[in-house]
Amino acid sequence: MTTTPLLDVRAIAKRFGGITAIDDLSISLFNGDILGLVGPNGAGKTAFVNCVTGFYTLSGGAIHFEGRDISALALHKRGRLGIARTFQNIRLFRRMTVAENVACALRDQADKPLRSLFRFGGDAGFVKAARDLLDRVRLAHKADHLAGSLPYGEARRLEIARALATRPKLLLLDEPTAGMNEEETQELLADLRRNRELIPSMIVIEHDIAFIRDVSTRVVAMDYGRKIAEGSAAEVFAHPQVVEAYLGAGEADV
Amino acid sequence: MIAEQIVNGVVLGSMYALVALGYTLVFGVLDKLNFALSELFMLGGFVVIASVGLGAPLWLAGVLVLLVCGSLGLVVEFVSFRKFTSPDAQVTAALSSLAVGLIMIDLVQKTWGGEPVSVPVPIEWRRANVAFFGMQIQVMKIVILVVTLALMAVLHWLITRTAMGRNIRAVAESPTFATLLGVDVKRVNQQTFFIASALAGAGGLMFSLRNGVASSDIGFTFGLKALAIMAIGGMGDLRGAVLSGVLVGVIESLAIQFGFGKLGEVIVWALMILVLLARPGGLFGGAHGTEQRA
Amino acid sequence: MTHDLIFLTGVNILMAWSVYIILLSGSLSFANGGFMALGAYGAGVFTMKWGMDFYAALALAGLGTGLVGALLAYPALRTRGVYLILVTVGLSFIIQTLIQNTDYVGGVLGMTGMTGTTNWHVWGLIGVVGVGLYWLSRSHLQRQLDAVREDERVAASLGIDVVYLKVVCFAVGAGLAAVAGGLYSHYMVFINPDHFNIFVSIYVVLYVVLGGVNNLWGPVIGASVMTLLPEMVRALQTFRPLIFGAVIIALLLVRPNGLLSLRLRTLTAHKERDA
Repeated sequence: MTTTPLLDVRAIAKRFGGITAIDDLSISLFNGDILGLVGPNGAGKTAFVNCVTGFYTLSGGAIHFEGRDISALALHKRGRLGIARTFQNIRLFRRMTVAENVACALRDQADKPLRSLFRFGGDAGFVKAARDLLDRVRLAHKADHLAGSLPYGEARRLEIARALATRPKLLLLDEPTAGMNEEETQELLADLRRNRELIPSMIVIEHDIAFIRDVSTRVVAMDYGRKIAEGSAAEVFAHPQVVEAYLGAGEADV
Repeated sequence: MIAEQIVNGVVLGSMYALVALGYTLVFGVLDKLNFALSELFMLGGFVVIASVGLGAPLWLAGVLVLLVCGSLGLVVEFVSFRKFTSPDAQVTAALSSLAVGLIMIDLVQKTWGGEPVSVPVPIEWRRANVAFFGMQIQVMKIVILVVTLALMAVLHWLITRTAMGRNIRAVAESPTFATLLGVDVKRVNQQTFFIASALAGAGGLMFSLRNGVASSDIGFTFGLKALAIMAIGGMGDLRGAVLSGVLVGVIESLAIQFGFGKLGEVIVWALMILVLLARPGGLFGGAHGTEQRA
Repeated sequence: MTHDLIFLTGVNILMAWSVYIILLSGSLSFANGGFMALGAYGAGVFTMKWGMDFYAALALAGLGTGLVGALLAYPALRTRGVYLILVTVGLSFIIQTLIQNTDYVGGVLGMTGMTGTTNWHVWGLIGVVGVGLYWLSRSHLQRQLDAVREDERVAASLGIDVVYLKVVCFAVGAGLAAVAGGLYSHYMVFINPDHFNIFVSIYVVLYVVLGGVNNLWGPVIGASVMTLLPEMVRALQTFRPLIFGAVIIALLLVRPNGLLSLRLRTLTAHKERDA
């Protein structure tokens, strides 16, 4: 492995007052990887996503993206570098329409927002691009509905479409199938497969072990803010510490 | 002379501190600004006038100020804060409480007129002085300091020693966490509003006693300064509110002493802006987390 | 009298828009009365004391105030929403007190002699700003601003430079308030610091809240109604703050986004399939 990893997380830590959410965590990810991140609730998985995307500032360690240190980079700069995410508790722009949710995330003329005021050609390009993305997640028929009116499963798919609108190099999905039934989960899996060319690399947090087996090329298990196992899905789910963490946490968590 | 001005500043500052304590309590617990506190400060003096007018002795009038202003605080909580719980309702709640404040001003002006109204103060409080380290200090000022300190001590006891205080601290730390622990957040909010409003009313009571008059415009001219004091002390930091209240009072008194007049006010607001920029946790550094709630 | 009323309505519409423009990025400013004062006094000094041309004075006052406003607010715009509220309240007091203590512009006694504004100026500017805001409302920029207002952290994670947009909006809003102030002083002939106290800032914000924060017509309606109605109905004049306050509270409870809370869409994606 001589190439630089796409994402290189080096011994990061995140503490809130006396509570440690992440401790000495190192993860690297190469272009084309799909990393499954598993662990009981409170293991620090979402905190990890928050650290990579810039929602949290690190308490220690460093994060490199395409060989560049992004540890101190602002949220929007990381977004522009090609890091996009969805949220465990869906965060759509609820009072905007479905199409607008996607359109506002589209890249416009080298990210100079004021320039859009001087474009006289109209919005056709944005409309087309937005509709195309909505088609990809089976939401085109709801394009002009308010995002806040979408049922749960559709809201999750819209969040993915919005993240894809930024043309990410790395997509982080935080529990994309939470609250979904088996059928919806399978559909979402199909959506992700179908749009594989738009998602070069991905990190997926999931409790659904079958889903992780299906989708990921590599799996990392966390507990108490630390990495406890890493490898193929089969290896990780057979790892005694992982088994213990899951059983110890009880079924209520899953 | 300068020593006396400093004493004056401490007296003035202790009154500011009471209102700032109210602001910082509400902000600490709800993460929101309650602009109505400035007008409850204004109202304090008028409640005294009304209750003495109805025949109550001054000590009873003082108790009534706490009860009336505290109860009005419950009304403010119900009207302007109960429905706006989400973090992005900060602006809505602030505006709503501002509108409640405007109504209070108007009602006071409709009842007592726009001019200052004199407050019945025992003559000897104003006339008599007490010698203290070679200074002559008006009895009035000592009364104010004693009452303010007593209120602060009671607040300290409530927050650190009682079950109610423990719940308030828990909600201030994290509402979600407190709910998980079985704390009734709504009840804690009401308690916080009652205490904060009673303190603001008490601050206004002292202010009108000191001036001998109650006026309907002091909410905006003096009460709003408590905002600056809260920010200087660190938003949500009770100790900081007291310290910065005294600091601001002394700065204003000295500014007047050295002939800068109202420019003291500029210093206070400019200091607030500087603190917010350079040390958002407050000048005295004890405030809770500076990390944004994600 | 009517002439004055038309003028005053116009200035209030411009002021409401100045708050609306800042609110586009989700920030609330209680300093616009102060920026209006900077414009009123600034333009007054430029024409009266420096002999500058009226239009040049207005432009310079607007640009200067926009720049100063953005510089002062920039650090607060980077942090949490309430900080900006506090900073703008502070600015309002600081600006008023500084003017009261500046003898060059007459201190508390005020300044007199400015002339030149006509209703054509005010309503012409309303036309220009209105067209601009309408153009904005159909743009990609508006969509990004809407996203910032809905959830600024999420908007930032999508690559939108939230702080930049906030600073631009703040500067433009402050500048517009200053131009409105310049027009005001050159119509009223006489101004003093009390014309621009914190109440002015608060009332203008409440006009916008009353009319609605989601489209450019809300502030126009809010400002017009609140300027004209009390003149027409006597009872309203007597109980103005009371009724105004009660209406605002009721409105926030029932329609938190204002009377005209209808948001204009920036695009329609589904046109040809609407059968």
